[in-house]
Amino acid sequence: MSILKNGMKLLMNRSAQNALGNKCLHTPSSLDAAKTVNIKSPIARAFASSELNEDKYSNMPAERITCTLIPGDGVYPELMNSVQTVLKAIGAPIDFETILFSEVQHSSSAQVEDVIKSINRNRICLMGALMSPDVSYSGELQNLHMKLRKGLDLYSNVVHVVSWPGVASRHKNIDMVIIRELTEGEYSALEHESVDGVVECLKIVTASKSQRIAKFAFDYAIRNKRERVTCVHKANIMKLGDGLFLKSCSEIKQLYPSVNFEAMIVDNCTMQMVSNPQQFDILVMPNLYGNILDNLAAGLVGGAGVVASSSFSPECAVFEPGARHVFQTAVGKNIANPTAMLMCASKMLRHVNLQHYSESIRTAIREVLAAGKVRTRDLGGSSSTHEFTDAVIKAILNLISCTQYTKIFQFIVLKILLNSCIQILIA
Amino acid sequence: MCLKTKQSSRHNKSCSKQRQLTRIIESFHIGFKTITSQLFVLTSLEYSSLKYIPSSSHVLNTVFLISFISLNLNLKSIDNIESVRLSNMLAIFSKSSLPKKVGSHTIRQLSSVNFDIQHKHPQARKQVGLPRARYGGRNAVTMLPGGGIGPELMSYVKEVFLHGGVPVDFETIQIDPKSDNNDDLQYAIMSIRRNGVCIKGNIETRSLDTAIISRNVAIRNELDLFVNVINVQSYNNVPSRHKNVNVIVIRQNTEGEYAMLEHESVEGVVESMKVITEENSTRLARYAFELAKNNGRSKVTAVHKANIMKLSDGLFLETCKKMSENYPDIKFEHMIIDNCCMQLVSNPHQFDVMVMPNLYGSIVSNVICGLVGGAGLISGRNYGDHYAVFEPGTRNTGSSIAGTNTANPVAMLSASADMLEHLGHKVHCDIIRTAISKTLNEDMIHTADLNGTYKSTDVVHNVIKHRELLNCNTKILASLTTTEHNKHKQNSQLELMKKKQKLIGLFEIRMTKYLTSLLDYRFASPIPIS
Repeated sequence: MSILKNGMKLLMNRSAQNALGNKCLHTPSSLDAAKTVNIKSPIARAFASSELNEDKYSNMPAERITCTLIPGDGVYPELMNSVQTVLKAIGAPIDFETILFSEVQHSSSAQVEDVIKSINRNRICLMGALMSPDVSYSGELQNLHMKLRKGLDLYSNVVHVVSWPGVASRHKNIDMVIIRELTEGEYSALEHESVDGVVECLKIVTASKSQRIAKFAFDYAIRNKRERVTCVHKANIMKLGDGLFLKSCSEIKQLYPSVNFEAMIVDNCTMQMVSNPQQFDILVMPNLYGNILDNLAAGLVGGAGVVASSSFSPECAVFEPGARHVFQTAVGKNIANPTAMLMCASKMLRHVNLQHYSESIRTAIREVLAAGKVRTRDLGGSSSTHEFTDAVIKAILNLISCTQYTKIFQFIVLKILLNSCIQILIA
Repeated sequence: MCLKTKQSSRHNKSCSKQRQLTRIIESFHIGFKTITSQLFVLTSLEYSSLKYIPSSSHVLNTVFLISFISLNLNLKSIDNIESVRLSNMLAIFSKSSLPKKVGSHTIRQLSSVNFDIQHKHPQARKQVGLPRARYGGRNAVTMLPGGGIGPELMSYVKEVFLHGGVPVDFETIQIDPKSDNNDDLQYAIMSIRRNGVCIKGNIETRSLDTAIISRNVAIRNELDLFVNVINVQSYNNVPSRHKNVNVIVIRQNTEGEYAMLEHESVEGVVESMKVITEENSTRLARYAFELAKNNGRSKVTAVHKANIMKLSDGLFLETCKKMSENYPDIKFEHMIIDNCCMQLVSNPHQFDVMVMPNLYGSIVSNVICGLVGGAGLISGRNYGDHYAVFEPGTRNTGSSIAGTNTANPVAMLSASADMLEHLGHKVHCDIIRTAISKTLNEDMIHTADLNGTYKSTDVVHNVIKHRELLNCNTKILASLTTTEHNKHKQNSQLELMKKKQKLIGLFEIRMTKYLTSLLDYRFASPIPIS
C-alpha cells in the first residue's frame, strides 16, 4: 500500500519531466475539464447490417473507416493484397490509405513525418514487416521502424501466441500473450566507439516507461480476464537496469491485487518456453528480450506466417505481423502464408468495434486451417497464397449463409408463436 | 499531524522545546485513540504552530470551528510555561479525564478507518496520477453500479454503448453494502486510480458501525475529488415548475460539514466540526471562474452563511472574492444560503454559475434538480486533479423502485455522455446527448417520475433507436404490426387496437431482446484489445 499512500512519486516525478510520459498522464489540472478539447475523429463506429436482408452486407454504416496501410518489404505487399481482397469480399467498411514506406527502397519511400501524420489522423494502421539492412544508407543508427515507433510513441507490442488447429507444431494448447516494451532498452540507438576497437552500446531503462508498460500488461490482464503476469528480466546480471524494470513491475503489481505476478530470468524463460510453454499466461519484458521471445514463441506455433501482433500508443494502434521477417526469397512466388496478415486485419476490425467482421475472418481462418485441405508451403502444404485467400473468403461466405438460414428459421418460428399468442390473448 | 510537526521542527532553530512537545504529542497520539486525546493533540498542535512555526500558514489558516468546552484549559495562556511543566500538566490532564471516557458506551468514537481521510490533515493532499488506461484510443473505465437502481441503470448504459460502438471497456466492481470491512472499497478506489475515470451509481453503506464511513464520501476523499459540478439544464417538454433554467452548481466535495469529525465531549453534548481551508476554497473558486470563463458564462454567485459562521464561511467568501479580482470580465455576487434557496424556487433564471461549500451544495443541487423535473434527469461530475467520477446529479439510491423498470435512466445516460466528453470521444457524446433530448422533448417518452407512462427500457430503446442502430429490428417490427393489422381488419374496434398496441409494445421489448441475443456474438461484451 505504500505505493498508494506515497502516491507513486517515482513514476510521476519522472514522467512529468518526460514530455512523452506527460502526454499520457491525466489532465494535468482539473481546469482542463472546462477547456475545449481538440476533437479527433472517433475510431469506432457502429455497424448497421440488417439481419434478414438478402445481402447481409448491403446495409453498410454511413461512415467508413480509413486505415493507413504500409505494405512493407518482401512478400508483404502480396499479403496485403490478399487482405484487401478478403475485406472487399466481405464488404468491411474500411478504406485504405496506402503509403509506401521502406528503408531498402528509400528513394520511393514516404517521409517518416508524413507516415506519422497519417497514422495519427486515422488512428489505426496495418503494416507489413519492414526490412532493416545491417548497414544504414544514411549512416544513422536508428532505422525507420524505430523512428516510427518513437514518433508515434508506440510503446507496447502485444503478440498473442495461440496454437491453431491443424497446424503441425511441437506443442499444443498454447495460449500466451507476450507484451514487449518498444521504445527504449537496447533499441535506444545509442552506440559509439569510445576508443579504437571498443564500442559501447547503451541500454536505457527508465522507471516511467517501465511502469507504463507494466501497467499496460496488468490492464491487459484485467480486460481480458487473464490471471497471471510474468515479468521476464535479467536482473541478476544487469542489477540496475533490469533491476529497475523488475522493481517497476512489482510496484505496479500492488495496484492489481487480483492478478498474480511472478518474475523469471530470461534464460530460464526461454528454456521453459520450449519445454513447457503452456505454463505462461502474460509475459511482460523489455525490448530485446521481447523480440527474441516473440520469435521463439512464433516458432512454437507454426512460424512467422501465423502470428499477428498489435502495438499501442495511448492514441493509436498499429497492427503488424508478430515475427517480422520479410521472406525475401519468396517474393513473387505466391507461396507466402497470409494468415498473420489476415489476423492483423481481424484484430484491427475488432479494435474499431467491427467485431462481427473480425469474428467471421477469425473463424474462417480457423476452419480453413483445421480442414487442412488448403495449406501454404510453410505449413507443409502446396497451395499458393491466392488459393488460401480464396479458401478463406469461401469459408466466410459459407459461414454467413449458414447463420442466415438458421436466423430466418428462428424468426419464422418466432413469428408463428407471436401470431398464436396474440390470437389467444385477443380471443 | 505528528509527522507534520516533526518535519517542521527540523527547520526550526529553537527546537529543543519543540522536540519535547512533539514527543509528548506523539505519545498521546499513539497512546490514546479517543477523542479527548486527539482533540488535545489538535490544540497542542495549534499551540505549537502558533508559537514555533509561524511560517506554516496552512495550519494557521485552517479554521477549526470548535470550542473546547470540555477542556477548560487554554493552552495559549500558558505560553511561557516551560516544556517540562507543560508535559506534567498534559500527563495529569490525561490521567484525570481519560478513565471516565473509556468504557462509556455512549461515546461516539472517531472512525478508526484505515483510510487516511484527507480532512484530518486540513490541507489538500497532493495526488499523483497514473497514466490513464487508454490504449490505441480505447479507454478502460471503472464502473461501480452501487445499490438500488444503480445496476439497472448501468445495464442501460452498457446497452447504449454496445449499440453505439463506443470505444470504452468497463471494469465492473460490485461493493457489498452490508460488509463491515472496506476491502471492496479499497479495490474500487484502486481501480479508479488505475483507470482514471469512473462511472458510478450511489453506493450504499448499510453498516451502522461508526467505524464504517460512508463509502461515497470515502471515494471522494481518497481520490481528492474536490469539485462537484452539476449542470442543470431544463428540458422543454418535461413538466416542471420553471422553464429555460440553465445553472451550473459547483460544490466543494471533500471538506466542510462532511469532514466526519464528530464526538461527544460531555455526555449529551455532541460536537461536529466543519472544516474549511483556504487551499481547498482557492482551488474551488479558481475552478468556478475558469469554468465560467471557458463556457462563456457571465456571473458567478458564491453561496454562504458568513453572517453566522463568520470565520469558516467568511474564509470561503473571502477566498472567492479574492479570486474574482483575477477575472474582471465575470461578475461576482454573493448570497446567503437561506435567501438563495428562496430566490431559487421563485426566480432561478437569475443564476448562472453558483459556487458553494459542501452541505449547501448538496441542498442547492437537489433544489434545482427538483425545479427542472426531479432526480432522474440531471447528471453530476466529480473532478480531482487526476481523477474524474461521473454519477447522477442528486445521488439518490432509489431502493424503493429498484427492479420495477420505472427508474428514469436519463440521469445515468447523460452522466455517461459527460464521461465520453471527458475522455475526448466528442462525437459519441454528442450523439447520446441529442438522442436523449429528442427522446424527452420530441417523442415525449417519459417515465413515471415525469408523469409519463413509459418504462425505463422504453426510454433506453428510444435512445438507441435515435442512434439509428436498431434500424433492422424496428423495420421487422413495423412489418409485423402491419400484417397483424390486416388480419384483424374486420373487427377493428378501437379497444382491440389499443389492446394490440399494448401487446405489440410488450412483444417489441421481448423481440428486441431476443433479436439482440441472436446477434449477441456480434456484441461480444468486453472487447479485448487484441
